[in-house]
Amino acid sequence: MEDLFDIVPQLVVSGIAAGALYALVAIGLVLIYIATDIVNFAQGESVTVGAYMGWLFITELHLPYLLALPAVMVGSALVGVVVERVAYRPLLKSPPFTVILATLAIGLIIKNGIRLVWQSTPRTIEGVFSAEPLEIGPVLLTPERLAIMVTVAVVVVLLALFFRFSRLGRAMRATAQSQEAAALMGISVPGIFARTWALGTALGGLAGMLIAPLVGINTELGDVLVPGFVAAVVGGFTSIPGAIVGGVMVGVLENLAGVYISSSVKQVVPFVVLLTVLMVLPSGLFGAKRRKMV
Amino acid sequence: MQSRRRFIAAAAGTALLARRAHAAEDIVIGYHGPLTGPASWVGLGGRDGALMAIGEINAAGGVNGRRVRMIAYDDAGKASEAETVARKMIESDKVFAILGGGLSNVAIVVGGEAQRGSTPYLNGSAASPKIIDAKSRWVFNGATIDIRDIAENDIDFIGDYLKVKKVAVMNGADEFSQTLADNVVRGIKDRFGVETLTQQRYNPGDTDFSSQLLAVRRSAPEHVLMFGLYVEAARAVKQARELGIRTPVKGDTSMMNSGFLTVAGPAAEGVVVDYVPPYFNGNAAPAMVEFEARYKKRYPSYPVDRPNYVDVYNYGTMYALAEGMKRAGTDLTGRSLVLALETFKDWQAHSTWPGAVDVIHPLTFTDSHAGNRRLSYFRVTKGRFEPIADFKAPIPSTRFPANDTLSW
Repeated sequence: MEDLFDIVPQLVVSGIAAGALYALVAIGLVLIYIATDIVNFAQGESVTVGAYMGWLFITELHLPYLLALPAVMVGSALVGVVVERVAYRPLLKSPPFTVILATLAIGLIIKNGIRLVWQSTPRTIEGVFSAEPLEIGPVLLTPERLAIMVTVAVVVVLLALFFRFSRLGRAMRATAQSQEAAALMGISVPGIFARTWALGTALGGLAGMLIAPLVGINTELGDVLVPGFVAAVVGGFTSIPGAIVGGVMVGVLENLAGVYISSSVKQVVPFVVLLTVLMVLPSGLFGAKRRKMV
Repeated sequence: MQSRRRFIAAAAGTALLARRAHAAEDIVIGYHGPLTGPASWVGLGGRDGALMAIGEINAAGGVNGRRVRMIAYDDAGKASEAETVARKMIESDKVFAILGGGLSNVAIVVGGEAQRGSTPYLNGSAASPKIIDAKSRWVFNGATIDIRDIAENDIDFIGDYLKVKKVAVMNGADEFSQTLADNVVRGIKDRFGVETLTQQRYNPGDTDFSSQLLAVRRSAPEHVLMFGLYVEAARAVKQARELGIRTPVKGDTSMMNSGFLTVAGPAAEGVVVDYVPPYFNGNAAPAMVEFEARYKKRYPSYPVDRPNYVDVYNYGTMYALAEGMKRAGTDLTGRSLVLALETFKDWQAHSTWPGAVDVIHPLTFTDSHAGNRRLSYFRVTKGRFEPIADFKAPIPSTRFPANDTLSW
């Protein structure tokens, strides 16, 4: 029998692998929130949409996985643009609560639309990486899961470069800081909103494509919104590094609590983390303090 | 005088027509199951199996000349929804009887409401002991099997056939999986001294099982016993191999499903499961080939995990309900249906409904309301479920409440 603490490295690595996906969902939430001040509760469904889209591209159009991956990101981005145009833009001047309800409704419409067409039956797609574990020191890790961690890391680096060096990225940052000032500088604020939604949902679609070969595809995949949301809040909801740290933290703590406390409390851990962080740091780990002028 | 005769004749004619119209009135059956949520494959399969049976029954002239119509309700697999759904069926829609295609936690509540509403309830798929132990005359277990019977078979299978001494258990947190796991853990210890090194839980819809599996790996068992709905179980079996766990796995009826093979992939190889109906999807037995052919005709684009055991359960249980109504005769009431069902002795659908396919075990309600007590075991071999022929599952010894002890 392994010693109680021999499995800590494996628990941490498996937690990071799970947390990487939470982080990807959290980044999508954060991007849209920074730019539009809206929490997109349909972000979980963008994961589901991405997975189903990937399944369609691979099984119906016979695209190889690696070609289907960017296709899904483009397709998910288009879905994001449509959602922004149909459900969000008409409500621009509505109270935030109305818009949040609209995102919830969009999520339900997407989920039930998929159910209507394909029911809730699980589907699967083959990934390109092996599911046979590699032994790396005391840890076993499959190339499939390693690929997810690497992909998330690459996405984060690309996003950092995009926001720092590209014209569109800088315009997004400017809009996030002040919509009025950005508009005065000639930036099309509605256009930036649309692009931000596209980027956020594309990341959700990417998460769907990454998770699909591991756990199959069904309409419940969007439930990853819950740990993703907690990760975003823990990270401060305005910080991409915060979303990553939050995601990994939730993933690792879930695993440690699952073994060292009880498997029954595993699901509760994200909420305990959330409450603890918010009590100590109300703006999250990396969140900027927001002061309201009165 | 003539006009008075005309009036009487017209009144008599109207009364006759009204009586005829009543006789030809549809019999409305309520159905509940999780049509949405992580367990929706249970409710959708059960609904579709029952609808297929109803289609055949109506095509054969209905029940004593009356057509059967079913209203399906989504209980989302949640006990919190069960009371609302049951009351809607009984009080608003005034269904004549209820067919249960739901999970145990929901069936327990619906059973209670059926008792209060004096409405016959045929539970086609749930297995909790609490359903039968409520001692309601109105509640029957159809094609399904009580958890205590599954456990008794499992205990024999694990202790006597697998001959293992140390196991690790992973079970879903739902009513069925938790109760079955607890019964088996207790039974294998008491009868065979089998030690359960760790018992891990997971929730419906979970996608990551690494902490539970690492706790299992750490305990170094000879066998892993898994109880839970097949989607999560398939993910866990797949993830177990990723974490280097090569220990053999024994699952349950839910996993005997081509959807399990699809999601778990090669990791499913060697998994052993118990299974309640005599037939399963992909089975070469003539009855199941016929059932699948009819199913495919009715549902041309049926999904990979169907028809599965819940389709089969509720197809067979719907026929049992129809047979009970037929035996109750034209003066059909809830009570007459209950009494008619209690005359079932090794009843098989084909014996009284020539158009039916016998895909469930024979049902007997003469002693208790637990209609079926049989199950069998299978192993995944080269991507297919193959029967384990050298283990003969015993008829279990659990004593269910006798019919004359049940209350109306």
